Amino acid sequence: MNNCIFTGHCIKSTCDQSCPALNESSFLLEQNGIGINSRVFHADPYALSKYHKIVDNAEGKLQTVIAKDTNAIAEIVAYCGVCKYWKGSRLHTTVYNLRLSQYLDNVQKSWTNKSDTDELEYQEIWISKAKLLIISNIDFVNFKDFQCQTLLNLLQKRDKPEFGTIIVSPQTSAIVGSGLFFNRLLETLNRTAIK
Amino acid sequence: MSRVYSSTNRIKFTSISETYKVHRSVKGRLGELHSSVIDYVIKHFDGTMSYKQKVVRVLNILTYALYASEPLPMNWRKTAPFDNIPDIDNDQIKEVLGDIYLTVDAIDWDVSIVDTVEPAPTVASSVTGFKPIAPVITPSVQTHKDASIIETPATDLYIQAPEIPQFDYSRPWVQKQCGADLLTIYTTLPEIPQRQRDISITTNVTKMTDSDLLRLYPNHFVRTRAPIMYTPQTNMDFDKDFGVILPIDDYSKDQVIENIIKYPHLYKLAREQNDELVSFYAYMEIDGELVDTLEVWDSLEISKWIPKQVEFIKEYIVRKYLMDIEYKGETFKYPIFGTLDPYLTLFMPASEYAKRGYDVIKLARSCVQSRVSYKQSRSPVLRRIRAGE
Repeated sequence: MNNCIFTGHCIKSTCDQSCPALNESSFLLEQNGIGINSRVFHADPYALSKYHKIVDNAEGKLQTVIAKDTNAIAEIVAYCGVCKYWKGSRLHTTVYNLRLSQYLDNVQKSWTNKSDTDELEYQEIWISKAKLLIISNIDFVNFKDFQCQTLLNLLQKRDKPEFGTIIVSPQTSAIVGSGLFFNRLLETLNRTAIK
Repeated sequence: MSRVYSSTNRIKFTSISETYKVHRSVKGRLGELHSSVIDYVIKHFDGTMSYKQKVVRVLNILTYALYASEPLPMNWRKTAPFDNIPDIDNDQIKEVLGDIYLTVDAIDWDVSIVDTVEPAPTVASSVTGFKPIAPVITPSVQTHKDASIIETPATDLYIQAPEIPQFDYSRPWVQKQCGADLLTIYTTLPEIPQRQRDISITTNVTKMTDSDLLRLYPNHFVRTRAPIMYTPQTNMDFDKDFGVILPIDDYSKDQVIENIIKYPHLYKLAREQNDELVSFYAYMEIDGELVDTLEVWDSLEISKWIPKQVEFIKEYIVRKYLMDIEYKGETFKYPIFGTLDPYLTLFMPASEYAKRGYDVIKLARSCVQSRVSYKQSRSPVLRRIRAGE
């Protein structure tokens, strides 16, 4: 009813809280931290069109988008994903923007607390169920063996024909890390980078 | 990388051609190019976010072209700097421009908003009627046709919302407290529609130049009717462009074709019955009463000619209704809910309309107005706001 992204074009007979377009799109936007005042709604149309195409071809693939402002681009990719996958999502998190640094923090905290927090449990579910997973904030991580292995394992779990995974990364030369698995991670990012 | 120009260190728009910090080898030529953009913008500036984005993009592309030694397209003109601008990936531009890349925030827009938008100088726009005797195909129309390497997708003509809706949150187009709800409709983006599908409740046709209007035409014939309408049928006329020409009472074949051109796509039509919206085609109004279409269809004379299939019945009912209003001046007790003005969908290239005697600028303007009216008259939010006034 309020703050529906389709309001300017809507021709439905009534506008109420039970409208699937409102419910499903709003839920996914909220899950991805995109508020009604987000910059994605007035983003550069050329950028939108570019990332829309990438999202459209995401199924069954791992892709890496190289960007300078990784947060902004991850939000745009998430919004394009929401627009593609809201219909029929039935309030399931079909699109999820995983902030990797926060996820890794949650995993490490769970070791200290010897139990998983609700947030971590939900993150695990969404990682394994989202049709489109966007992985951002990798520039906020110091990649040692644990961080690299966790991300590489996660990518392996996502390797299914019905899933799409998009990593939003800075230039790989700007990623901080060391250790046995770091080169493997960089190789994966370079191999899947969209030229 | 920090940028030379940012929201805290803005560059004045009107002095970009002189003070923009670029490499001395390109300064002269770039100053000249940017100056042409400034001149153009001063005459057309509408103050909107989408317009500013467009300006910034053009400025950056021009800088990029000189930095990367990429020639500008032959058909790019200083007098119409927004037209024929090459489509270059933004990341690529950022990469090349580095710290001098411009953003909307980094510019101090010291330009006044122009109230009336002048027609673009490259487009002839003096025709006044819908049907001039000898329509002139403007240079822009030809350019449009020449540029048709990729066919306009049919989805560009849809009435439903764009795949990725955009709006300017900082500019509510209408806002009203109705009971417990604060109803808001934000100005949609792009404010100047790039395709028919972008036209929304908030689109303002007066802000569109002739070249903006011409951009709405597809670059090939788009089949907007149901697929079966493009298959020849026994007992019915067939036109290779428009498809099946249904026999509709005593109307001529030409009148039916004209009706198809005016209303090529019949989308989600309804009428009110006992305060509820019902499908327009499910009922027919006979002598002021609504009767179930399927119950009476077999008793109609026309059923001998038109197959009893949903798409044919739909078209017959709506086209007869529209033609009865247009040619016989009939009024109905149960009219179509909301407006349905002609040329809601432009389905042929501008040159094809021009060949048939239409003024393509005026026709595109009608398309925008019809769509805005179609959406405004059906919008549940706007209806609620207006009902509360």
